[in-house]
Amino acid sequence: MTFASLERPSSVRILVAEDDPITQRLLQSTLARLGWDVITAPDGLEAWRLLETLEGKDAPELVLLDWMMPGLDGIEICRKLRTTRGFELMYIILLTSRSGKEDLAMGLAAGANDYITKPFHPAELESRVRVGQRVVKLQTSLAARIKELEAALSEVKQLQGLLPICSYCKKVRNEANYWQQVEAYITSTSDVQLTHSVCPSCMERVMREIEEVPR
Amino acid sequence: MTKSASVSASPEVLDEKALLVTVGGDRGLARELAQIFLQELDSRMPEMASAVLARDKTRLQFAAHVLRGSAASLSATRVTNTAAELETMARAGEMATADATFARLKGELGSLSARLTMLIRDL
Repeated sequence: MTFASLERPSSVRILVAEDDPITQRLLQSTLARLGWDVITAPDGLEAWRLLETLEGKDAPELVLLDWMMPGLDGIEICRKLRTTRGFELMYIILLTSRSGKEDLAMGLAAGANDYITKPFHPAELESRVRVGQRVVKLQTSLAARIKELEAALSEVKQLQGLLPICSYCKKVRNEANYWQQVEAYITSTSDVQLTHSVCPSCMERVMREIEEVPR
Repeated sequence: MTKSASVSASPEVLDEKALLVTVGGDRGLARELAQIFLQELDSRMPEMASAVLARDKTRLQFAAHVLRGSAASLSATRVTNTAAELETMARAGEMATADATFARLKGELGSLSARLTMLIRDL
C-alpha cells in the first residue's frame, strides 16, 4: 500500500533534473502515478532556466536534482539556489549513485535537504518526497501566518511613553502640542472604543447631590 | 512473460523481478524503459568507443556514468558493474585496461540487448 491512499498529495509541483533518460522517465512516471505534478529537465542548465522563469503556480516547490549532469551539476544548482533570493527555502533532494559518507556530507553541505541513492526504490522515493511535501507545506503555512501577524501588527496603535496631563481638568497634551480631552485622545490614538457609564463612587456622589437639590 | 524467456535469462544480465518492483508493476513502463535503453545505445556506444580510443577521460567518465545509471534502473547488474569499472578507471585516469573493459562491456550489452528485446516482445 502506498501512502497516497491515506493522504492525497495535493498541489506540490516537482522539478526533476536528470540527464539519464531512463531514470528521468522512471522518476516522472513514479511521481505522477502518486499524484504529484512533475516537470522535467534533461540537464542542469535547463533546470536552472526553468527555476528562474517559472512563476506562481507554475513554479516548482520541490526539486529532485541528479548530482552528475553536463553543463551545471546538481551540487552547483544546490549552491546557487541557497544563495539566490527567493529560492532559499526550496526543498532539494539530491539523486546520485554515490553512496559514501563524504558524498552525503558534501551534498548536504551544498544545501540539499535530502539525498536518494540510485537505483532508487519507489517506496523510498515516495517517502522522501512526502517528507519534503510536509516541510514545504509547513513553511508555506508559517510564511502565511507571519504575513498575517505583520499585517495585524502594522494596524495596532500602541500608546507608550510619557503623556502630560493637566492636574485640574485632566486634559492631555497630544503630539501636536494641543490639549485634548482624555476620551478624545484615547480614541484617536488607539483602537479602543469607550462606552459611557458611571462608577459607584460617582453614582453615590451624584445621587447625594440630586437629593440635596431643593424641591 | 514466456516460460522460455524466464529460463534463458541469466539473473546477472537482467533481474526482471527487481525491474517490475522498480516500475511499480507497470509492465508498459518496463517495456518503454527497455525501448529507451536500446534506442540510447545507438548513440551511446559510438560515443564511448570514441572516448576510449581518444583516451578522453572526461567523456568516458560521463558516458560510463550515464550508462551505469540507466542499467542500474533496469536492474541489469552485469552491465551496471562493468560500466562502473570504466567510470572509476576514467575518474582515476587509469586507462591502461580501458580497451579490454570496454570490449567486455560490449559483449555484456549484446546479451542485455537480446534479453531486453525478448522482454519488449513478451511483456
